[in-house]
Amino acid sequence: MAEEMRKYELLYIHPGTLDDEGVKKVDDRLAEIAERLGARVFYRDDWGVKTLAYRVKKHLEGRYILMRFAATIECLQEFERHLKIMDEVIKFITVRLPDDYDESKDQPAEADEVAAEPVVTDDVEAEVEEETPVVAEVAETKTETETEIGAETE
Amino acid sequence: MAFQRSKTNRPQRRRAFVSRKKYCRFCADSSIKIDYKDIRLLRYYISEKGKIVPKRISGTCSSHQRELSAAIKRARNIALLPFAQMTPKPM
Repeated sequence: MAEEMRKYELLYIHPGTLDDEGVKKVDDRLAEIAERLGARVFYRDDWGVKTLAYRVKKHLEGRYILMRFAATIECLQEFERHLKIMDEVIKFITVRLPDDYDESKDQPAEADEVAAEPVVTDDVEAEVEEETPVVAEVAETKTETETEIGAETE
Repeated sequence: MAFQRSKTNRPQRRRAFVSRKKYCRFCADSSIKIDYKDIRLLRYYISEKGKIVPKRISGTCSSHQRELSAAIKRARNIALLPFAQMTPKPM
């Protein structure tokens, strides 16, 4: 059984008009999956509502949520499966992070299950504040899973 | 892969200049990371129409251009950057 955990970054979008309940619903769903399949979320950020570069499912604005976590492949697949189905999510993209990615910013997801171990803060200086993941560096091991849900380009 | 002739060698040469020996911005400063989420950075590398700027114009080196391209494409897919946009027409 593949116990190996990989680090991923997931960015997904809610319709701009979605209320907080909807946001919570997605959050809870992901949290539930994470708990069930043993994922560890170590960063979450809500960018709020931004204007989209093009119309997506008739929406012009979207609320972006960024999440970084460690999970097994099965868990990731489950995440994506749900993200694809849920109406609350109109687009998402998952990017694999290099295994040595420094989990500098620690912000547990809204859900409670997170194994909130205080993150290695001694490396914080090394990692610049803008938590630009070093995705670019590890070109060879990078696997990108990307799924669009009904994007409309007009 | 299509061959590219130097434009200056063609019989009908439009422009004689080759791209200036500008350095690659990312090679010069290795702390700048190319990230699909960093649209402020990425915007410099797309044209008015939203097209990806060729490296002979931007001066980027090949490997970084590839990273840029990948990042831009990701950003496009997640609606952070457009696939195409209209240029304002001069009257």
